[in-house]
Amino acid sequence: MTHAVDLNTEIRRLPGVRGTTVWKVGDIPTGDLGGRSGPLGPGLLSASIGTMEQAVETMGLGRISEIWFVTDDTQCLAIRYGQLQAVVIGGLEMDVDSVRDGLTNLLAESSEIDA
Amino acid sequence: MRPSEAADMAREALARGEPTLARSITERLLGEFARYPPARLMRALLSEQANETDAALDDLRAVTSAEPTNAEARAAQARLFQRRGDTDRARMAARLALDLIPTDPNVLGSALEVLGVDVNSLETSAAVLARVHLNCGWPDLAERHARVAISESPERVDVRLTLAEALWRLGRLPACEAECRVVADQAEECVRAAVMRAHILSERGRTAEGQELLDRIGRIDPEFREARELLGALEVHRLVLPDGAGITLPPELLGKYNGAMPSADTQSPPDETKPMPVVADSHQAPPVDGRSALVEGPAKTPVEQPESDAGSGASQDGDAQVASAVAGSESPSAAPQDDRTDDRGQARRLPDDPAVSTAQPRLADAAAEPVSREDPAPRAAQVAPVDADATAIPGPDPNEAAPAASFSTFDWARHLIQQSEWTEAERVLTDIVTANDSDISRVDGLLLEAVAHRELRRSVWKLLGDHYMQTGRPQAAADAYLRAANVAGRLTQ
Repeated sequence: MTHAVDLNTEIRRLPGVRGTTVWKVGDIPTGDLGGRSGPLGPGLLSASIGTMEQAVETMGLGRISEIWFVTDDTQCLAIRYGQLQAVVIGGLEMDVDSVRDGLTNLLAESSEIDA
Repeated sequence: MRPSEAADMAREALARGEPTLARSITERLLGEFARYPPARLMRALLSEQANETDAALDDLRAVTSAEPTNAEARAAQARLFQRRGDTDRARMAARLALDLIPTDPNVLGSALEVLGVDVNSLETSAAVLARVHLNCGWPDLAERHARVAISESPERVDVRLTLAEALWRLGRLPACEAECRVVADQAEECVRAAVMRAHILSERGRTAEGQELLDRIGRIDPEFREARELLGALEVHRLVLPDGAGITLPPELLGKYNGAMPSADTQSPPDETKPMPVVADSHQAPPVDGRSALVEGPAKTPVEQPESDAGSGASQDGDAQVASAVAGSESPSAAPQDDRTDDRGQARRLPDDPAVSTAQPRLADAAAEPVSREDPAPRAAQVAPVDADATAIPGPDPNEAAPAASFSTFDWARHLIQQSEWTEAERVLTDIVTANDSDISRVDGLLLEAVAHRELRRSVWKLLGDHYMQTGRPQAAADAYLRAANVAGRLTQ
């Protein structure tokens, strides 16, 4: 849990990021989506992305390693790295490419610590 | 007589080569106290002798569930596994028995024999050090070693129990409670963990619930031996130790037992203490300090006994006898234990408890009066149903024991829900989900039961979502989270 909290804190420092959720396969998603949806938000968002992953895998399209979507005022980026998954949200000004790089590095470091 | 005395009789009969008599006493004991660990251990030993390995292992499983640190039961398991050719489990059980530091040379020898090692070649493990330090009264060191042992063998319930007790002795009650829950999930009838949980509940101001849990312990440990041992270490506590139940053996059994006792002139050396024959009612032995007023008459039922004992003790000899009444023992041979019980067994109350400050009841009254201000029911009324259950057991079938005597976290959560203790139930359910129990369907079932209650709906839907995520069911999780959000009605705020 402490590990996930630390990771969430690190991810929140990435430029433009307003909310994060992190979870490891078999764990409960934790994080804070910047106050959106209250305590249910992290779980709901990660479960929805997990559902999409499962559907894509069931269709035989392989495993999703990254999902990005944009709404009228929010960008959302979800990345899987091994057993770890992270979802970040930010405004339209968030530089998705740099956040993707930073997030991937953080997840890679965290996976090494776990290993 | 006390159940432990009857168990000792059975053990002695077995040691003397009288398995039929030992079995009769054991069955009688189990007829009264179906889950009493010493009786089940005795039956396991008898089954072992009769080559009934499965039956013996069943009983031993029950014994180690109630007493995970029972070295004798572990050693017997080791022998039985070895007999079945299950060498790995035999060695594991033998190692466990040794880690529990058995004081009985037979148990030690038996475990060493299964392992095929000499006592000098034993290594000192962290689990052993934890137990040694706990036994020596150094809980902080015990905690350190127990944590090391748990990191090596997280499945070891005996080490968890040692850690829980160390934390309890250190006063770290929330951490202790969490460990007790883990213990209870592996060993559902663990008496020691249940006693600690009862105390923790009472310390949180939930005295009535703690007392209820303590009362339930009587179904397994009718003498409340472990409760006395643990609670006796405290200067004050809010719990009232219930009266120990007794058992009356039929005269023919006692006759056989006494008739089979080795006579002093044929078997005992002249200078050796002559074994004391057991009479129909051991409490009719010569009274000490007028304790005969507290004797348990043969015609009394266990239901009648506590009230009448407490009453007579109060009327005749006062506090010292009441302590004896609580201990349920008046035989002269048990005098040292009674002395200990005087210190430990009596009910204690905090000085600021209104029950003390307003009335200052005598200890005799404390044993028979309401548990606390939260629980206005008379003490006797609380004890009676427990004893009534025990006496209602028609035969010696231990499998008929009431499921309510189980102390698992799951049962506890259900109990809290039944009692409409929503906040506490939510906390326990959260702990269950966080613990990520390997029995997924069991957690599913409990949470789905809980979500039927309107008061728990929002939090439990979220817990269900968490649980589904943990168990790789994101679609179900998304549905559960959405339901939680709908209940909360503020998803898009």
